[in-house]
Amino acid sequence: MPACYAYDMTPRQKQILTAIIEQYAEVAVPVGSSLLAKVFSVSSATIRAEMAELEAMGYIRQPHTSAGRIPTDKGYRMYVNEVAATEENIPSRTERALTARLQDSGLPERAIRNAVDTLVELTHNLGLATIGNQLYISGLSNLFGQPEFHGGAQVQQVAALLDNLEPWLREAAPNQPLSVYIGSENPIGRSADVSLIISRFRSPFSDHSYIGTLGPTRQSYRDVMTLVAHAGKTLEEVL
Amino acid sequence: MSSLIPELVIESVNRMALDLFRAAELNERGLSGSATMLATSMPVELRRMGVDEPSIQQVFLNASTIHDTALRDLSDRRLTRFIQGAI
Repeated sequence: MPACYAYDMTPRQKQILTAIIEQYAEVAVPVGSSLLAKVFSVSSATIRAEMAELEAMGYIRQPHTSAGRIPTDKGYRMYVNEVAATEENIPSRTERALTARLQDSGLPERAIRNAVDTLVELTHNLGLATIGNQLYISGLSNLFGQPEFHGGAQVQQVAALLDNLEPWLREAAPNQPLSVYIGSENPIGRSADVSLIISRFRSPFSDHSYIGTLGPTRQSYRDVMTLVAHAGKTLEEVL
Repeated sequence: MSSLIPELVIESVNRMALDLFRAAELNERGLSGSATMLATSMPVELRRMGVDEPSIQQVFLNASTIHDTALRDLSDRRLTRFIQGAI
């Protein structure tokens, strides 16, 4: 993954995009210029001009129903690349909690189940693990309960992605320790507006073992990516 | 759950969620088809029953929770069998 924001963005535009992504992840409501003007201590007109440029570059868009802006898949991709390039050396409280739960698991299948269930609990996404051709899945109702999926068509797209995930993982076998597929980057269900975050890990049971989450494109990528990568790493140690 | 949704509809939908899950359980290939069936069949069936759109969302969420639990238990059993067989 490229390790920096696009060259066409100014540092302030980069900060504004980050603020829009993080704010939208938190409140699920399009982000307006007045809020950002307070955050950056500039006028709303200045923010509106910056937002217009970000929109023209394809990083944010204006939903029909709101005056605010939301990130596009391209905007999320820029943000995720930046997050992936950031080294975090101090384990967070949630990472430590995950480690503790996995180390106390005993049986290997219990460790895998605990890892997925903990990811579901901490991220509010759907969690999954594949070992060979076996899939463990939990949190379907978490996913369908998100406001983005309160409509028929998207739910069906998500379901199609879910049903084809294990065969696709087996075939594509993404080789990175952490892979992030944002919205339309997903091989199946391109318009489902979901992001798949998976970590490949080595296990004594299969060369192709993955753990990860599936959630709306609107999510706290920094936290989820850190946790998923940590879950994969810890499973390698305990299995 | 809204009290406007007849109890009979809720029962019927929950039964449907489990029926769809059992269809997945019988599918030897794995869990394939289960989520798609839930997402496609259920809203259609609810509209046929005359349930209004906001209520469909509520009923669907409730049913997906039941489906979720069943799916998790099934995938857990299969994973356990696979790992124990490999040890």
